[in-house]
Amino acid sequence: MSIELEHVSYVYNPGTPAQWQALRDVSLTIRPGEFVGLIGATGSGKSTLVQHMNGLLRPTSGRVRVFGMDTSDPRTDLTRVRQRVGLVFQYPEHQLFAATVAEELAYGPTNLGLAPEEVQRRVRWALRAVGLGEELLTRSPFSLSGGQARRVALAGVLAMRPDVLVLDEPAAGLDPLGRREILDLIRNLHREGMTIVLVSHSMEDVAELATRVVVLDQGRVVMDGPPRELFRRHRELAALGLAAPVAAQLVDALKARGWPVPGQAVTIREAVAEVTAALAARRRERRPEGGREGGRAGV
Amino acid sequence: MASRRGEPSEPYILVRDVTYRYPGPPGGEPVLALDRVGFRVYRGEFVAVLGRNGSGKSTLARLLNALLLPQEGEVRVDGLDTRDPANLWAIRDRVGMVFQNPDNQIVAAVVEEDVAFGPENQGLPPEEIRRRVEEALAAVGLTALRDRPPHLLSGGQKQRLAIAGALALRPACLVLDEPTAMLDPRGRAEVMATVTRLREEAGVAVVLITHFMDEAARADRVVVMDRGRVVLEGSPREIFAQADRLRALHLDLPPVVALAAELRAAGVPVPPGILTLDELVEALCRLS
Amino acid sequence: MFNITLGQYYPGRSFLHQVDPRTKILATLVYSVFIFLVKEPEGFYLVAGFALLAMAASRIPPLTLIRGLRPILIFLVITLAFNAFMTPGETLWGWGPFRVTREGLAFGGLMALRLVLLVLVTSLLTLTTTPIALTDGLERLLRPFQRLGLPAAELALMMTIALRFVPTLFDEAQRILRAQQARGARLRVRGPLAQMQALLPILVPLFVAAFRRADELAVAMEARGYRGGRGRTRMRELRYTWRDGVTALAVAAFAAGVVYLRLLAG
Repeated sequence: MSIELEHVSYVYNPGTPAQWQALRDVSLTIRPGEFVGLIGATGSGKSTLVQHMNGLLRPTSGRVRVFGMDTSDPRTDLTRVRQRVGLVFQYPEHQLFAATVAEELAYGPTNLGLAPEEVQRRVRWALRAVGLGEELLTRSPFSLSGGQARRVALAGVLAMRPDVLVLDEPAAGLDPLGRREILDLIRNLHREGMTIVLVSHSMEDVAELATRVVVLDQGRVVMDGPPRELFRRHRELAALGLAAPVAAQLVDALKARGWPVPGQAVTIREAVAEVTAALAARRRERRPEGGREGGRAGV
Repeated sequence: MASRRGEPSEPYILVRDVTYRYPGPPGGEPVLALDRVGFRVYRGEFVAVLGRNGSGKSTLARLLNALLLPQEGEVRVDGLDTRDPANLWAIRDRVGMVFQNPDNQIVAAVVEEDVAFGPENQGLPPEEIRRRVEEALAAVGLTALRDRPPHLLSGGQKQRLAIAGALALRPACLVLDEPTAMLDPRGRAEVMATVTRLREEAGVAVVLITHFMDEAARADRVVVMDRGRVVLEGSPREIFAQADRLRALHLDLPPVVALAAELRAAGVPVPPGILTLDELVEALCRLS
Repeated sequence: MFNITLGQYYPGRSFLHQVDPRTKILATLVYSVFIFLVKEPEGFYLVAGFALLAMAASRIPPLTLIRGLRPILIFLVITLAFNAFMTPGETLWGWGPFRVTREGLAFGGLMALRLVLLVLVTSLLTLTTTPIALTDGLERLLRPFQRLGLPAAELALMMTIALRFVPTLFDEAQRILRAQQARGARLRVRGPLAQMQALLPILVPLFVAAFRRADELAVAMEARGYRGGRGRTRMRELRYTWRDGVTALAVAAFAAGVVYLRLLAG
C-alpha cells in the first residue's frame, strides 16, 4: 500500500478560539497505480488531507503510514516520506525562487542528499517529463510564461522521483490550452506507472482521468468509488456543492424522461454511446419487424 | 449613473483601430499586444471576451478605463476621449474594473471601508459615501458581512466585495478581467449570479473576460481574440457553432456544446445553437 | 485561517473603548512623557492611580492585561537587579563584591513599576482601539502637519494597506514554507551563512509575491480613482463626545498633579 490513513482527525489551533476541526475520522488507502480524484467544496478538508499524505501535517489522532513509514513516529525520516510522495500545491509557480531553471529543479534532489551527477540526471529527466526543452535550463524561472512556469514547478517536484504525485488544482488559472497540456502530462505520468492523487473542482477532468473518486464533506469521506458509480449520484453531489459532469447529468435527465438508457455515462464519449444506442433501439421498436428484445441489446 | 452624452444608438464604449505595444526585453523589439483592434460596448450589454493567454484581452480591458492609453487609434467612453487627461477621472467613474486575484484589489482591513475607497477618492461628503456603500453592499449581498476583515471572506465573497468597490462609483459599465479564474465552483456561481443580476436590475453593461466557456455562453455577444486581433464576433450560439474554428484558436467548447457537437458527429441530428443542458434534453426528446 | 490582528484589539463597549482615538493617542502621549517627570514616591501613587483608573474604565480583565506584560518580564528583572546592586547606600545583603542596598531596591522597584505602568497604559490604547480607528486618529492628528509637507493621508493609507496585508502575507509565507518542505527543504541548519541560504527558497518567493501584489494593488487603486491623498474624504468621521471631555479633564488633572509634586520637591 502506498499511503494508509487510519482514523485520521486533524484540529487547527487546538485550545484557541480559532480551533477548527478540518478532518474527522478519515480512513483511506491509496494503492499503487491508482488515479484518485479528490473532490469536495472549499473548506471540506482536501488541502489538509493532502498535506497528511507527505507528512507536512501529522494527525491530531489516528495514524498515517506512507510506504510503511509512520509520519507521527519521531524516528521517521520525513525527507524520505516527501521523496516518495511528491506534493504539488496550488499555483506552484509561486514558490519558484532560483536564478535558473536548472537550479530550481536541482533543489529537491539536492535536499535528498544525492550526488551531483545524479541530481543533474534527474533535472534533465524532470524537464523532459513535463515536455520542456533543455534550452530553458539557463533561463530564469521568472522569465517564463504562465504555463511554462507551472510546468517547471511541477518538474521541481518530479525531480525527486516520487512514487506518488499529489496535485492540488494543477490546472487552476490556466487558459484552455494550458489546462489540456497539464492534464495530458498528468495522464502520461499515470500511464508510466506513477500513482496520482488529483484534487480538482472540475468534475469533467476527474471523470476523464480518475480511476477512483473520493468525496470529502466537512472533513469526512462521504463517497469513495469508481467515477461512474459516483457521478450517477449527482443529486447528492449537488447537495454537497459539487456538480456532476454534464455527460452524467444528460443521461440521467434522459432516463428520467423515460429513455431506455442505462444512465451510467460520465464522459462525453460514454454519453454519446448511450444516446445513439437508445435512439437505434427506438428506431427498431418503431419498425414492426424490429424485435422488442433487441431494444436493450445495444446497451 | 453617469451622465448620458452619446445618442442611444451609439456605443457607450468605442475602441477604434487601437494598436498597443509593450516595451520588449532590453535591446529587443516591443511586443505587439493589440493590432488595430475595433471593439464596442453598448449600454446595458453583456459582452464576453475569449482568447488564449497573451491574445490581448487584458490589454484591451485596461484601455477601457484609461489604465492604458492607445498608442494608435482611439478609445471613447461615453463620448470622452481617454487620451485627454482632463477626462481621466470622469472615465474611471464610468467604467469600473474587477481583476483576477481577489486578494490584490482589496485595500482596506474592513469590508465596508474597502467599498468606501472609491467614493473617498472622489472626495464625496461622508453621508454620500455611506449611502453609496450601503447601496453597493446590498447590490452584491454583502451587507451582513460589512464589519468583517476581508481576509476571512471566501474567494467568491472577496470577488463580490471587489465588485461592490467598483459599483460604489456608480459606473455604467463593469469590466471584469478573469474574475472567476481563482475561484471554486461555488464562488464562480456567486460571482456570475451577481454580475447577471446587476445587469438585469441596474442595467450595468458588463465586459467579462474569461476562460470559462459556460460563462461566455450567458453573454449577449462574444468576442474572440487571437494574437492581438478580434478574430470572431457574434452571439454565443453563432460563436459556439464554430467548433473547429474555436479548437484551432486553442479554445474549448462549453461542456454542453461539446456534448451536442459530439452527438452530431455520431450522427444524431441535434440542431445547432444549443447552449444549455435543458435545451439539449428537449432537442433529443423531440427526436424520438 | 490565521486570525492575527495587530495590537490585539480586545472587543468591547466600555467607556475607554468609546473614547475618540485622537483623545486616547494624545492621552497616552501625555502619560508617557509625564511618567518620566515623576521622581518621588508620592508621585508614583498618582501615576499608578491614573493607570488603575484607565484600566477600570476599559473593563478589560486585569489578568488579560497582566499577561500582556510577559514579554517585558526580562527587562523588569534586569532593571530591578541593575539598580538594586549598583545604587550605593545601606547594605541589606552582601555576596562577595556584590551588595544589595535598601536605596537600590527602592529605586529599582520604582523604575520597574514605571516600566510596567507605561506598558499597561500604552497597551490599553491598542486593546481598546481597533487598528482602523487608530489609523484614522493618527491621520486626523497629523493633518495639520500636511501643510508642512507631511503626507498624512498617504501615511494613513499605507498603514491601512499594511494592516490589510499582514494576514495575507502571513498565510502566503506559511504556504511557501510548506511547499518548500514538500521539496525536502531543511530549515534548521548550522551556521549563519548556511541558515541564510536555507531561508532563500522561502524569502525569494515571498518577496516576489509581495511585489506582485503591490503592483496589482496599485493598478486596482488607480482603477478606483485613487489620485493621491489630496481631495480625498473619509466615510468614517471622528466626533468628540462627553467622554472625551471627561478623559481630557482626567489627563489634565493628572498632569497638573505631577507638575505640582515636582514643584513641591523642587
